[in-house]
Amino acid sequence: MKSNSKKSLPTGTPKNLKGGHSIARRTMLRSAGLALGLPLLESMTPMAKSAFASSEPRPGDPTSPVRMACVFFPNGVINENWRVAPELDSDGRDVVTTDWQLSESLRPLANVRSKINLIDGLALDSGRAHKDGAGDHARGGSTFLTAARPVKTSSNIRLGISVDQVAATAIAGQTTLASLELGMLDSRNAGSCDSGYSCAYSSNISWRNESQPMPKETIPRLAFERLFGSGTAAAQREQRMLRKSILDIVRADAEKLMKKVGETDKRKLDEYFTSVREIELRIERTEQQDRRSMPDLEVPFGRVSAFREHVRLMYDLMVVAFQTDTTRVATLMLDNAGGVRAYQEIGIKDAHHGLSHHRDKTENVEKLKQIDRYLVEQFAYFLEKLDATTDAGGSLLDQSMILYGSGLGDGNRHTHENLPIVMAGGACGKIETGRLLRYGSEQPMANLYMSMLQTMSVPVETIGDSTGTLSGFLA
Amino acid sequence: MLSRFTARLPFIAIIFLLSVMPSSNGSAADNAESASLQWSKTGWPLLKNFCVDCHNADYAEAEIDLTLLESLAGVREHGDLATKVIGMIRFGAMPPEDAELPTLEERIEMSDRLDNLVFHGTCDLRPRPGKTTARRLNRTEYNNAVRDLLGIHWRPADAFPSDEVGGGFDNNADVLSLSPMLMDKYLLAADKITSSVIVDPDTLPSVEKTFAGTTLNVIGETRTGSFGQRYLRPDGLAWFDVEIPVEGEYRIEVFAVPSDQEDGRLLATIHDGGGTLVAITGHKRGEHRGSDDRDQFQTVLTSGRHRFFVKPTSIESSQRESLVAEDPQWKVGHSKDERIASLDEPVLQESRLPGDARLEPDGDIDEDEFRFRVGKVVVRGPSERTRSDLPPQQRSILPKIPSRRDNVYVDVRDPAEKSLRPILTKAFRGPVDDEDLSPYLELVERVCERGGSFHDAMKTAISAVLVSPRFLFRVEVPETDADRKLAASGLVVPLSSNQLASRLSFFLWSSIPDEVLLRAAAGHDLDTSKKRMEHVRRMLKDPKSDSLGTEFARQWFGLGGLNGRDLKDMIAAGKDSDVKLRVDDLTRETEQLFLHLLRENKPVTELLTADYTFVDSDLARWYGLKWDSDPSADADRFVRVGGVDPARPGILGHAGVLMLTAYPTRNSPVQRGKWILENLLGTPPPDAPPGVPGLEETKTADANATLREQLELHRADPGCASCHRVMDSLGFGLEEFDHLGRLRSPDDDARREATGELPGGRQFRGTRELAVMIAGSETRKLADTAVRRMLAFAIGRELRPSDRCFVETILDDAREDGYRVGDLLVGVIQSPPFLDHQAEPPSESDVAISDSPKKETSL
Repeated sequence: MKSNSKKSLPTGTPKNLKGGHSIARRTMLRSAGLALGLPLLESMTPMAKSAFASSEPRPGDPTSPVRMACVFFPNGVINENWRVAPELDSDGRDVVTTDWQLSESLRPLANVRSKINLIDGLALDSGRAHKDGAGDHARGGSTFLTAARPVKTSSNIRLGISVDQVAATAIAGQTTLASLELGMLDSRNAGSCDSGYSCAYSSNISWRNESQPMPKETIPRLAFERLFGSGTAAAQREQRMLRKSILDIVRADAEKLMKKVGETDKRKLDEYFTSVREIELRIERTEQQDRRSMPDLEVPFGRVSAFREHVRLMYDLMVVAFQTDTTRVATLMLDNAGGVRAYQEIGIKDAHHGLSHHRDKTENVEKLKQIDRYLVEQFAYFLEKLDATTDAGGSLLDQSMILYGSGLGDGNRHTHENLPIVMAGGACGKIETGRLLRYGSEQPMANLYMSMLQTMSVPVETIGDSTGTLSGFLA
Repeated sequence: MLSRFTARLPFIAIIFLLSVMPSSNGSAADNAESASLQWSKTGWPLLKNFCVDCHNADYAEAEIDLTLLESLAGVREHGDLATKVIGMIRFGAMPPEDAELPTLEERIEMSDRLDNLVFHGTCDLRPRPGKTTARRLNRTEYNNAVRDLLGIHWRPADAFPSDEVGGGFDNNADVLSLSPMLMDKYLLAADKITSSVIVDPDTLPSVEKTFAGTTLNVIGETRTGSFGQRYLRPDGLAWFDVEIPVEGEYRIEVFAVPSDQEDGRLLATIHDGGGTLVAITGHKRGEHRGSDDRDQFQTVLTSGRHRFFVKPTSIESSQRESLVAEDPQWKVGHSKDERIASLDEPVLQESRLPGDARLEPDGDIDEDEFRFRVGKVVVRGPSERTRSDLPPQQRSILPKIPSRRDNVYVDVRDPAEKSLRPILTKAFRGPVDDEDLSPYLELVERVCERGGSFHDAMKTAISAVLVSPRFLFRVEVPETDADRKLAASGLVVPLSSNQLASRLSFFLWSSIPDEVLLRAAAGHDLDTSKKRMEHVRRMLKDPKSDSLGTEFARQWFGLGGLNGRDLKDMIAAGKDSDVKLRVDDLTRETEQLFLHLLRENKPVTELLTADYTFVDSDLARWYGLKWDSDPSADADRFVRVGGVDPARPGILGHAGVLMLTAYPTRNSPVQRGKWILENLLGTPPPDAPPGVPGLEETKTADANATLREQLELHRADPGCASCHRVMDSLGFGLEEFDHLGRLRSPDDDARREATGELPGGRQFRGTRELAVMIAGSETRKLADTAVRRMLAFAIGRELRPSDRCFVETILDDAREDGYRVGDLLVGVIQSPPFLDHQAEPPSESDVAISDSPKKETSL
């Protein structure tokens, strides 16, 4: 593979992979099969059957729909703990290898190492200042999935469509929801958040079109309702909840009253109890019926204040959303761009963004490493859960492609290159996994989007500043 | 036939109208012992002779065993039976005409002796005040309670199933029941009610708009800063239009910086589209490289489009006060900037940048020329407190709104308590302790914790209040240990101050106590008779006591029977055919007469003799009365008018009563007579025996027979004769009116039939003479009826034989002043059945509560 991949290679063509000595035989076979253009269904079906019969985990079934999820975190990473070997060799040519070691920050991904790709060398040129001056966080967030240049304004926002929305628009109608946008923190969609950039830029990675960000759902329960309850079903559910709460209280009032009254009064109040009871039973029955139509996931009502619990619920929701094929496209913002969450649960009281300007102070750098790893830990939870969820098409992870990364490389210096990017999942056999892809020259992030869209058979000519697909990425 | 009727009439009438009241008759036995002796000597032998053959333990016709009444103890125990027997004997309803009949004297002897025994048997012992069962609010009480609690003026309970009537009133504890369907309706109504008084402002339109860069227009030459800030020359203006969704107070923040090396602030003026000065802001001078300096103001804006101008000045903000005080050019709200006022729309539009414009930052801006930089202007609002589209009650119901963190309402308990404590206190009609309150507060906390708005949480909590048994039921249980001890030993327990407050308010207002009454109760003001009466007087002056007309009087006189009556014929038959008469007009006439007698403390006899009445314009026209057509007067308002036809005395001349007691097409002297017996004289005739044909089915001798002749034929049946004689005689007194309540013309044959005879050979002709005669000789019976009805309504239960003891005391007290209605009402309030009760000790038996469903998904 040549380092200059601006002229994109014909996609779908397997390449000779430098250093790729230990590619699984199965992967090779599959790659060959694809290259030979065998009818997918015929070639795969017997395999699928045999695999099913022997309960062997299989890579994704190419006839299954590919699911796409994109997870964003702000403020870049500490490269020292993130970056994995091997480095580029002296002639600076691309490295694509399955022979690599997890770094400190990525250690939590050990169980799914064979199902992820690490990509190094991607950049978001639209995120760079050029003439627009300050505002790297807003640009880092807004370009993450659009690779488009945000217009510096606090009111008339203009950006571009994001990769998830390209996919969602193309497959709209095939699932209940075209896409699901999740976040951990509400958007501030008014005013400006970063140096004259509208808050919409910092708060949204998913953009339906150049001026319309997709608002995030931050309350797990509401996301759940959105996925699995129509508007009225959800409203009815809410209504039942409130009814039950009311009945709980008044029943307690009645019980207290009952202790004070004599026989005759008691007979009258019994009418009250009977009525309350009858309504409670009715609600209970309706709830049971309702529950039968819902996936088996306990989602608490209201906000979840603990980060770990909150983010895992969000990941759970994405799993059930994919599992039930309620949607095939999801995004999750772990924080808004330039996020200031203090990761109290791992003993860090400083705001993330403040820390990210660490000026090489060891204390701050160490904390950032902890945060990087902590977030990866949660991501690993997601991947493992996806991998453990299987259907006729194999594990969900094998049928998905999960982008995990930040719009900034080095948070201290606000760099928009060398972005920390993990691509997990085999996209139904369309992406070979277990690799490190290290590019010798800067590759537009948008080219990765082009490749991702290709696995979903969504034809687009360009997105953001794309120049083609990402060379060597697709099988 | 006629002669037979008139010959036999006095026979019965004398019995029922001359029967004695023990307490007012000196010759009656003056204690239980002598009453018992007399009964054994003269009463019981007669009863045994005439009645016991058919009504004994072995052969109890109609399941009545009269041997139970042989002794004082038996009469005490079977007071209800004794009372019924007295009525039957006096009416002549028993024995049947084909049996051996007692003479008049024998009837009097039997009934008076038994009556005497009943009275002394109960009243010589310390009479017990009785107990009212826990009773739920009826529809009217619910409507009035939510009106007084939350200030709503629609009637949610009208959607509830109608309440059963017991003892003549729909507030009777024993018949008011609660079905699951009603529970459903309670929940629904609570939703509707709370939604009508609390609205989450977040669900209403609001504005948070930033005007900056391309959306902040500049008149005059301008430059663009690197963050899109607009630079103005000293004579420049920045402006924008903003769409305001609803009237309220909006906050406008101006971020600006005047370029200067010096310290201090410079003023900028803000003008509306017409140039009027709306605010003055001050901005810290500084280098343009620095950040903008924010100043803000609040202004009330109506809905619609508003235009604002920001105009820089070179005036130090230290001069602001003196300028505002002295300079006519600096009067906020008044001064006008002529230049802005005279700006042409085209000039303004020209300064507006096209929607797709991009502002490129200018380098090297000459800050001496472009002295004033505006970063942005932000318009936010309306503030919740000022917005005009919230329910008017909301501010008083939610006096405090908690703050929000990350869009979640936090620290909600205290604001919730500020709202809920007074609501619970009023709704539950007495003090609530923390233990009562905390489940409600916790509900609010839980709803808010899961991301619900404070407003929604409060709606839910108040809904729970409206469904709580403590709101829906009036339960009178002993409140102190001392009272519980009394109750446990079966003694009379005085009602607590709070319970009295509720009894007063539900009696006089058909609603919950107000704050004044609750405060009085808390201060034990209601425990003393004098202070209690002060409150009664205050409450009767309050228009809420009109409920004594609409609820009490209406039911007393059975006026609810007019509901659903088609008034078409009545209207067509009126003197003025375009009159818009409604059933409500008819009932209100009677209600108003009662309220007048009550509030003016008139003798109860005026009910029959009033030579005035109460009408609104429609009813006045229907009666042909002069109506003072003051155009400013509310045509629906009822006023007292004189000049009523003398043939229409008091309630017996009320069109509503006359119509109520007639069939749709013809009169019914029977019904009218029955109505007088039942509602004025308090002696309802016994029900017709089974198998008696109605008047229509009675064989008619002659197709042209008069109504009187037909009725006489009907009475030829021995099963009917005894009662009908009484009813018909009274009813014929009202034959002057037709079935629509119109006075018949003097030459109408039917009018000649309006005659009869009262005891003592007192002949009467026409309604007026009848009314005056009853008022004159049956005053105590009239007052007795009034008191019994009031008491039953006031305490929510049917009266028992022993209640008669209290009624007689009330009547004795009111006799001297001629039984005035107000005095009777006071007597009721001061009577033991109203003030005390026989509380049941808490029952030990298992509470019949089924297991509650799993709570896993409850809040």
